[in-house]
Amino acid sequence: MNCHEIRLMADAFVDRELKTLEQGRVENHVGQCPACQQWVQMVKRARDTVRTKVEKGRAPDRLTERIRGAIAAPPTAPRNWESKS
Amino acid sequence: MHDLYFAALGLTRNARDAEDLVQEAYLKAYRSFRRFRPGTNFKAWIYRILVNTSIDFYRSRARQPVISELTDESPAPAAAPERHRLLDNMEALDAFVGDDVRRALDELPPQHRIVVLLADVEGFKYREIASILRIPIGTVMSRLHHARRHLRSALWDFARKQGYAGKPRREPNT
Repeated sequence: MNCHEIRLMADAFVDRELKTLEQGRVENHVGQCPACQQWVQMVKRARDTVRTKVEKGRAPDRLTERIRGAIAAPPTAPRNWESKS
Repeated sequence: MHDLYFAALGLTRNARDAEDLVQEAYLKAYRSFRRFRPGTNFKAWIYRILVNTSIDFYRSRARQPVISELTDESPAPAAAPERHRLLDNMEALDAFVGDDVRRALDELPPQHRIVVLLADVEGFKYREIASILRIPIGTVMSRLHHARRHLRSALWDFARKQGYAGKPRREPNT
């Protein structure tokens, strides 16, 4: 495995989504290659920035009522987004 | 419902459309609940309904046709070649707040944005994303690779604009 291949696989590697054999091969390379080690660290840090900093927030309270209303309505009733055009 | 609404916002980038989308997805899920197989992943099932609904939703409105590319297996637009400056300024990432990251995410094309949202915000595994978007797992892997590369470029550009990193800031000699 060369550095280019490692970088292509870096996302799946940090997500632990590679097959065991590939995961091990990437790990071996990264252990011996400071440049790839730094690359993998960047991929992981950027991913973790998204994971930890994005706050989902809450849906508006009225949405629950809207959904209840839509479910209670007869199935033939026009759907909200179809009736707007 | 809050998670689904957040994902819908990621798809639509518009609060009103996101509400419509979630309402419709819930309605579809309710009406087709007998098709859900107990023991399988309910969250992935309802997200798949959301994604399918978003495709129908925009098709019916004949706007934002780009959303139909969500499940397209053709390659997403390639991100510009990654500049490695983030590599040398990783501490810039620490300065980001949630809204910054959200804005960077919003800059991604929809087929990139959705995989990052599903993988990194919602925490789905690749096989679940493959099932939600109905694309092969290899496509999930390559799309996420391109999407994150694109996002890192967007984060880096944003970090520079915000003064989180980049040009050394010198105080004027007054």
